[in-house]
Amino acid sequence: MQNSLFTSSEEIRLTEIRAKLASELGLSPLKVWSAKAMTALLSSRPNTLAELKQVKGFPKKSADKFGPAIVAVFSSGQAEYATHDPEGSTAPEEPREPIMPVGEYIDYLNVALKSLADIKVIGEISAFKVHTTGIYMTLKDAGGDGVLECYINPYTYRGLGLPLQEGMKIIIGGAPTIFRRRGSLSFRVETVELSGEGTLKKAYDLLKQKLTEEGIFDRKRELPEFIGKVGIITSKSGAVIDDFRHNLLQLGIKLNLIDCRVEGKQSAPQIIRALRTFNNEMPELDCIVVMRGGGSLEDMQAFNSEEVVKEVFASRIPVIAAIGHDRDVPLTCLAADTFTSTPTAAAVLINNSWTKLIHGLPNYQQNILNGLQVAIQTSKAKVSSFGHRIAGGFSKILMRFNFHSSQVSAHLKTLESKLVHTSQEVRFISTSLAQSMQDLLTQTKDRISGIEKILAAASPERSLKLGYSISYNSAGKIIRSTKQVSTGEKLDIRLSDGTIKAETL
Amino acid sequence: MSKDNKNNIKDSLKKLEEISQWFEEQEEVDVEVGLQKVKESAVIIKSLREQLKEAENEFELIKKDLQD
Repeated sequence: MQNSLFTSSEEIRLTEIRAKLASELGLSPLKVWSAKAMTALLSSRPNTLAELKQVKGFPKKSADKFGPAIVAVFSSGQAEYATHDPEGSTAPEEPREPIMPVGEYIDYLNVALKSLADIKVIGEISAFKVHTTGIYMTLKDAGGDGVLECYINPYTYRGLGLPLQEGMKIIIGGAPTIFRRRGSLSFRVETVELSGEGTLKKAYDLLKQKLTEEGIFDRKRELPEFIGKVGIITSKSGAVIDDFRHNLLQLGIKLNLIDCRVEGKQSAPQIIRALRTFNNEMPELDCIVVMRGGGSLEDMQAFNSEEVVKEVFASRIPVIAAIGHDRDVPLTCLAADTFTSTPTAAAVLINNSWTKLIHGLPNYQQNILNGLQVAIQTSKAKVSSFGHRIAGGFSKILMRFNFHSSQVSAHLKTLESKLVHTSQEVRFISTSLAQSMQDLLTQTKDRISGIEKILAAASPERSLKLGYSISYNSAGKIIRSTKQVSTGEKLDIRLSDGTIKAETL
Repeated sequence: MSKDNKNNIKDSLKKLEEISQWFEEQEEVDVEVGLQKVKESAVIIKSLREQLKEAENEFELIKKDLQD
């Protein structure tokens, strides 16, 4: 550790060599080799070129270029500071105080000052000036009279992601440097931390206002439905990830965690890197969840850093920020598409993306079945109604039938009684008729008998019996006159008891 | 879950919604057609239920050098 201003003759010699080389090459001494490389050289003390090339932290290019001069410093007989000895005397001399040109002395001082990089300085910004070449500010003791001029490289300032302002209390890291041309000391700031709630709140408000004006908080994308692939950015060792996982429905969701610091100066760059990794290498993710447990404004610095906020905004994959907080919502949350204050709530959001299926499915099922049931019931009711109508119609027919039937029945009865009556009449008539017939028959018989008697009296038979006869010619005709008979004609003469054959004479 | 699978869920739910709406809109449901639609929806519901079947979430730690 080179925290002391006391330096060895070897270091002085090396500084001289570097300054000389720098001057020859037209470079800044630190470009020849850095303070870190110097420290490495001094602790390794390489005696040969091979050893020099093994020194960790010392650039190999420099070893090739300046190797012999460097190795000579550590090899025997060269360790002591080579004094200016124009005479070239080899006689032992009294040790002499080192004498250096101003520029070299400043370089020497700067090397020594570099070794103070471990010390951080706390103070309040009393003056703050933004210039094209960088940020120039004055840091002073809040309660004392100490003043320190500081310089921040523009690139470093952008990387800080912090809006600095006069009055803010900050802790700076870096190293003091003396400008060769002016001989003034300036602290080259490499890191800035905000100190105290007041400063943090001020920075928070400033950045919030700036980002609001830029519209960073306006864009909100809807989370996709049925989230199945999730990128998680948080610390793998925190309770947060367990809470999140325990509250997530078991639906075979793929969770990809990038383990990140969520506090301290490493956290912001790690979160940014994780966001970029997910966006570039896993673009198929449905969402990214950035998580952290609760904390104070000081703990939340990474999530209030402009760089992180803008990276969240730049994410092509929708971002859920689940960051616990007190009063001030971390700016990362405001830039995210959705934010919650607990990992459980973030898990619920993801679960909710499945609601349409989880609750919708039974609903649709019920609706559809109800629909069919209603249809069946309606049809049944219709059938029943048709049945009733048919039954009604039939009943009408039946009633009419009954009516007609009773009518017919009544008619039949009438008919029957008429029939009985008629039958009686017929019977009576027939009886009368029979009687009449009998009477008529008797009368007829009597008449016939009378007529018979008359006939009998008038019968030729009777006449025959009385002795009359009837003659027939050969032709069988009754001979009524003698004129009808010729001589020799054969005749039949019929008597009552037979026929006599005769011949006329 | 693949994008195809996700679209499948969306399409299936849409189909169910359409069937459900069809039943609501019909003043007089043709039981034969209704039964056909119920059969169709039963197939969809079965496939969607598969999606909701409990399956353990997969957890993977992505190892990335974040120190750069």
